[in-house]
Amino acid sequence: MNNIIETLHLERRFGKTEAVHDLTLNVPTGSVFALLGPNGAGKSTTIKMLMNLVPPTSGTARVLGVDSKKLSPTEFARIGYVAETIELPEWMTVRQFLDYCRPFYPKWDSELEKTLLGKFELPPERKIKHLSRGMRMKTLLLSTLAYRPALLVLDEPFSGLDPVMRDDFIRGVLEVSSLGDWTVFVSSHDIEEVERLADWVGIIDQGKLHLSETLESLQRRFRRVEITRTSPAPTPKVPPTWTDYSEAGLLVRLVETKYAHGESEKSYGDIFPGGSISVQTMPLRDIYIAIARTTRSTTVQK
Amino acid sequence: MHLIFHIIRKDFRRVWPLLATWWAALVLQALVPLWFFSAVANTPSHYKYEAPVLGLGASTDRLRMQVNNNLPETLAETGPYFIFAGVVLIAVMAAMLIQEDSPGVERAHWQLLPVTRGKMVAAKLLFFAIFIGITAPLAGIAAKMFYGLPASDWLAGSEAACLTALFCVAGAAVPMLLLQSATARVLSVLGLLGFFGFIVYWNNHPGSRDFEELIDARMLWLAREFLAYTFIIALLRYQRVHRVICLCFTALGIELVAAQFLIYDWPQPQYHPSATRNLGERWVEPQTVVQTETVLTQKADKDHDGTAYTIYGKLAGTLPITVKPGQALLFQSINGPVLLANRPRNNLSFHSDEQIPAVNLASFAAYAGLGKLLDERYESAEPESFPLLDYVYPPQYPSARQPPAMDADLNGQVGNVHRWPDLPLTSGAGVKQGTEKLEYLGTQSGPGGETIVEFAMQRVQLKYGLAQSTPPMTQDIFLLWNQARGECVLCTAFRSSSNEQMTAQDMDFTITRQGAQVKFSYLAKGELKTFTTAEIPTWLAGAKLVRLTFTPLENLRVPITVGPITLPVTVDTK
Repeated sequence: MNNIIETLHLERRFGKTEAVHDLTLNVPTGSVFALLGPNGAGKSTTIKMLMNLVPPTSGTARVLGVDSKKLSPTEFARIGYVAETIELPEWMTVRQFLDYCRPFYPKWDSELEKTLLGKFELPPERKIKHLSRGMRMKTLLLSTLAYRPALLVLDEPFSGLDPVMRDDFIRGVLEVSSLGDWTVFVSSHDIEEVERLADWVGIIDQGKLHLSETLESLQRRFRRVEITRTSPAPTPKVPPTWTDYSEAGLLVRLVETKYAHGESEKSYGDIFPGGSISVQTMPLRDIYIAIARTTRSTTVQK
Repeated sequence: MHLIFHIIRKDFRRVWPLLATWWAALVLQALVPLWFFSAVANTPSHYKYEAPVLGLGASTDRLRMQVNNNLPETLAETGPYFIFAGVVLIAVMAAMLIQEDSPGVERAHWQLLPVTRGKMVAAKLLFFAIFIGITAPLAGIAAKMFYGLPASDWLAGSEAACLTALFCVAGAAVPMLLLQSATARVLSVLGLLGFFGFIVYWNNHPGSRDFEELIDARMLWLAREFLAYTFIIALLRYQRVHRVICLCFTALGIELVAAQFLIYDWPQPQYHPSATRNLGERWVEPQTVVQTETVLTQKADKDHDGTAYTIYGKLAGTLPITVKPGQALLFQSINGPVLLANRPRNNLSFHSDEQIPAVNLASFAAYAGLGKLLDERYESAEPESFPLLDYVYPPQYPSARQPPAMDADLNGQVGNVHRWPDLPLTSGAGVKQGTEKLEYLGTQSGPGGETIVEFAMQRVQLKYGLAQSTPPMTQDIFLLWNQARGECVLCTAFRSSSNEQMTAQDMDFTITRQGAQVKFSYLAKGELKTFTTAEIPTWLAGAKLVRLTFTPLENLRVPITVGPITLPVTVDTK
């Protein structure tokens, strides 16, 4: 199974609102896939359709090779789902909650549970309702990691967590994911945190998927370019691979979306002869913003 | 299967405080009578049997009236509160359990647990079956055993009650849980109501042909219970999906209070008349007599110079009926009223409207079976006499509580008014139609020289159906009550449709009807006595007619109206 998640023309409408539109997405097995997008982009709806919590209006989704609408306890025993919106039984203590979850999973690893309990620094005898938000998320994460799911789905896991807690959480996921060949599917709009986790990235906005590729590929082809011209000149014809183009006096700024070492510098020199060229790699956050601006301006133009 | 029990264990941990509260309430409900009755001096021993059967409220009412009328009424009315608290606790538990593992909410944690919805639902249902569905009857059984009631007495009644409840719950659950369309649900509920009606109306009850009112009452009860369950289940289903807790619990509260009104007649104020031991009014808490079987014990009662009988009568479940010397019980059976009297030194006597001269104990079962105990045991301060049987009626007749005023004070004078006033009939089971008139015709000497007072009485038809092979029968019933003397006479006459011959019953006073005339003679202590001309007006001067009307088995109350009556009698005083 190359792709642990596959969707084909997946759509979901809520009345007249189109939450997800024609989503075709493949998540390779073993990857840490980050689905990025602003609030209301359709990330959570996509995940709910994948988890069979919400039926799709049209299209299909396959998770672990099974139609998402036919997911059975067998598949759910291999899926871990962590979302901030999940309501835990608050009257239970952490230990009671883990004790409750354990019998449902034949592959529950009690040793791993103990290890994670220590690493996450969770108080086992404290009731869930008395835990902080971050601790609740870690409790939920622990309860899903302990049975070593083949697919770990994280829906907005960083929402509401303070920086320290975010760091703890990411570290926890990274530590655990390094223990086995797990696939992690994470949706978030907290790009910096995701960048530390993900090796694949998908960007969704207004229900549409704009790209899906490896983070490495994305960072290889996106560059922030600054060119200092020698003299004022009219704005040249902007190539389609440029985005976020701006001029300030002699300074020209742009984002190259298909950067190729050497060739790109040559083309900049052709367009701005004699200019001083500075090419910088871009963090995921900047890439995301550049793409978001482009797609939104395109939408506005349409 | 182990997952189901695992979920049940989890749910038990969740609601054990509520369960413990509810169980404590059950235990308290069973034990309070014990404490209550032990705290009251002179508690008759049979009360401890009654408490778990009749319920605390009814039992304490009876105790209060018979033993100590100063006992507080509050405790007597705790029964409905126990019921109400129990229903609320169960509803809250149900809501908590459903909400926590609600399948209609995508945020619920269990949604992604590797367990099927079927197992989850099975776990919930099993939880209710184990901890609520079985516990409550078990608690009732334990209480009955604790109070020494043999299983044979209450098993049949309990079984019927459980089956009825299960029938209603299942009938309500199917449309509310399985059907998606609101129209389908409404149609299903209506269909089930029709089905219940079919069962009720087409049962093989021997008297069903002539007991439409009784069946109406049963049908009404069943429909109320079914609709109450339907509402609760529908509400829980809505709450399961939408989890609008405030709205749901507000609606549930309203429904429960409404159900209390509709089903349990609570919290309507209950009338508790003052009780005196020698004379006065009795608050009647009639109980359904399912069956009377045999004499359980016959023990000498030296205090009353007689024999106390304990009869097994299954009253709304089971209740040993103890009839001590000087006590009487009046049954309203499907065969008509039956008076069971234990007169000192006279053993048991039975008075019935049947055309059977002597009713013995064996036939008493047939008479009282499937009937209703109208009057509770009554102890006379004067064992030799048989004081009044006065019936008090529900609060809708408040003015009738007091002894009716006499229209005329004869003061022992001979008058010339010969007419009993027309008495309006209260509709009820068995009473079909008609009015009555009783006219004094005069006196004449009997064969033995006794004085016979003659009345003309137009018929009052009380129509009862017996077995289907038996034609409907009519009878005339009334009580003559002499308050001053503390004496009471139950006068009855009988006529079957196939035999116009009226037969006198063996009673204190006997009214023999021949054609349109009623002969009034006096039978006391087994000996025929006659009214002397002086006695008749004296006795009748303080007497009044107590009309009886009978209503169906509804809410365990029998309205019995007491109408004012004038007894102007013309007597030859020579």
